[in-house]
Amino acid sequence: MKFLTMEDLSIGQEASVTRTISESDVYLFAGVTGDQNPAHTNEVYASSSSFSHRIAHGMLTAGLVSSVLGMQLPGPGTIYLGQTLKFCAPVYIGDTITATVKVAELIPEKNRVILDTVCTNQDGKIVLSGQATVMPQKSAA
Amino acid sequence: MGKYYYRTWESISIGDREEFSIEMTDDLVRRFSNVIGDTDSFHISDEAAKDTVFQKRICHGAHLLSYVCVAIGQKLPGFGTIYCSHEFEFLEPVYIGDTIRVELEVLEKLDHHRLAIRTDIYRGDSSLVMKGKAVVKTYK
Repeated sequence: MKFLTMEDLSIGQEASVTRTISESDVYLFAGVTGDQNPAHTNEVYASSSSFSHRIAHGMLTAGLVSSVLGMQLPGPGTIYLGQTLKFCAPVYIGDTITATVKVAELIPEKNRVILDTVCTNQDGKIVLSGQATVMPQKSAA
Repeated sequence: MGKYYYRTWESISIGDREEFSIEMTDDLVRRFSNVIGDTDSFHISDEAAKDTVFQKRICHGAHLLSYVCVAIGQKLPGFGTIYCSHEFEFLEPVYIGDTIRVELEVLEKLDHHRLAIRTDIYRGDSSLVMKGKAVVKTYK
């Protein structure tokens, strides 16, 4: 798979993935992590909560951001150093989420890249925002 | 701790702590990869891992993070918690087969029933692999 090194990157460069969050995604995520909170897995409970319906796990949405970093920009070999996340709105089962990462800052002397990371739903509403710090693969790998 | 265990904002004091441990098995890492759509990375390919500074496969950072959410949702403050924000930094890799320990500690009590919580992850019992701080809103 293609990966980008520091030399290939420029400020403003972006990549994204769009995915509909299915019921199956939420249950698989609940199974893997053990996070069976009824807000995610019990429609009857969720209907009485402030969200009115089951919502996806916050880290499932954040996982889409990390998969764009690791598979597209900068791509394979990228090391995830840190992230800030702000959950701005709930993600419901059936929502179509676009996770976009955009290069905000390059620090070549430390081989570090800071990217703005944002997830929006099908209505263009921001559901997650933040910044990631990563180390792209070096060319001589 | 029952299924719907939770602590109210009033009952929580600064300095309250909880822990959660889990072994990061190969099976868990592969299942996590499938869920987030990672089909070909150094997390699941020994071949790709050889080219990294780690030399062998490591766990996804987002996967480790999800156990912070589990600890928050099950223990402190527990059921019904709303996850507002998080900032974290990865310091060391976690290899397949390592056991991690998530440590939570209440740092601040904020308005609107919110808490600032230190969310650190240790590998085995010693090295700090991730440090972070989350803001959450208690159920009640």
